[in-house]
Amino acid sequence: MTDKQEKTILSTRDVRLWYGQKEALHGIDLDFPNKGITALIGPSGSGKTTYLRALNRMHDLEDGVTVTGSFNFNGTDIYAPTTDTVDLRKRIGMVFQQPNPFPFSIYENVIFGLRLDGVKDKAVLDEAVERSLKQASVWDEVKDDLHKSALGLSGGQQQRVSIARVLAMSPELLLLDEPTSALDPISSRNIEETLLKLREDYAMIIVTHSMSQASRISDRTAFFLSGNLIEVDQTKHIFLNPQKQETQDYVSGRFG
Amino acid sequence: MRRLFDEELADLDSSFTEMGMLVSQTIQKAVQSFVDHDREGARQILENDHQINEREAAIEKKTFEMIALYQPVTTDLREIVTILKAVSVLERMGDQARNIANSTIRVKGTKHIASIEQELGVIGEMVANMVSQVMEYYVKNDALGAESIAEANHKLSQSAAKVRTDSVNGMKENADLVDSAADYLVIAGYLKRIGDYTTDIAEWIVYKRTGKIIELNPGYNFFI
Repeated sequence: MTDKQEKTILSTRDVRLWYGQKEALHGIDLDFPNKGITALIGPSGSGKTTYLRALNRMHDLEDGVTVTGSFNFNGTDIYAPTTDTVDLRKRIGMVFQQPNPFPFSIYENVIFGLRLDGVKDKAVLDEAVERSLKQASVWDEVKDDLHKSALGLSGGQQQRVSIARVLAMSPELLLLDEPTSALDPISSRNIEETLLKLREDYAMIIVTHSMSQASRISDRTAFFLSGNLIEVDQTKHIFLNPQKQETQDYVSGRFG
Repeated sequence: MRRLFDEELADLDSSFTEMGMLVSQTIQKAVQSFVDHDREGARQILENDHQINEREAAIEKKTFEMIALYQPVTTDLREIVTILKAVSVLERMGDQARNIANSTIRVKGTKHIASIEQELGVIGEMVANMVSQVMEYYVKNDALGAESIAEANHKLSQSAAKVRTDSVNGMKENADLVDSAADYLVIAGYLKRIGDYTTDIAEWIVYKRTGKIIELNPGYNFFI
């Protein structure tokens, strides 16, 4: 695990979010380094996924959601009216709980974003496919079947192809919303191995219900409870010697 | 994650074996300084003792982290527990080396019994070898080898008992030898204690290999 302080890629201050009149996030201050994995943990309804989705403006698509606070992403104000959400989501990619391949070939899945961007050069696309699938540790398994449907892959392979699709856009930050909770243990482990490799080069934020997953793979852990950030620290400190009683109770399985 | 855990476990393993080698060398130097009446050498042992203590603390900290972060089971858990237990034993061996060095510095007797000092040198060599041997059994995961340490420790006990008899006889014969002979008794006791500690480590090696907790230091190894 990296102990040295890296450059900050994303800095959020006083993040509040309302579903209608109901405040769901009560002022979250959280910074993220430009390398490594930060895990967001907490019981259901603690706000961790709500917070994660706020980071690339996923709530824009929902009615009645209000977000306030400052979001400084490498100098970009995420919620500025001038910020283009399509461009933003290229820079902040998201991987969801359910693998969500599109109903076409593996190749077309991976280059989907590049096609939208108007990239037509086959050499560029081929290179992106190979690079992304390798980064997502699924290249060896699918390289001979690139033009077969992605729907024919196993859940774990689909999820890694979904990760490759995000990586093809060369994002600066990866958001992962419980990326292994729909997968069997072996596939989950493959995904974890993939993330461990990626953490050398990428900043990642992962929401997970599995505390053992958070402890195994993350460099830093943030504990959410009832819409508040209770504690954030190096993962080893959170799991060995947390400063707050609530964190202690949650990570030792006393509630949630 | 398996890869990461294995790497960290391999690092932990080498820190532990390195510490074992350091302790073995320290014991040997401590005994040599005593035999040579080398107070400067003994002072160096005291000055360097913190290195052993720091290594112990660092290894313990790492084992706590690995248990908390990876929740190891079966052989992984046994290996980490073995290191956690054995590292305290190594540290206590280091303390015995420090005790020997302290005796060397404080020594008051001006008359010595050369034959006993020679015998202590041999025992010191023997016990330092037992420490490196037990570390080798650890590295090779050799439970049978580890059990054989009990035999070596029995021989060591007999040698220590002989030093005791010779020292007491020396005192009876010549009151001028009491200061030195009392030191010989104490040093032999320290060395005997280190020998017993090697059997403690050997027990943990057997546990690591087989999952069974055994006793390798039966009651017949006594000194006084």
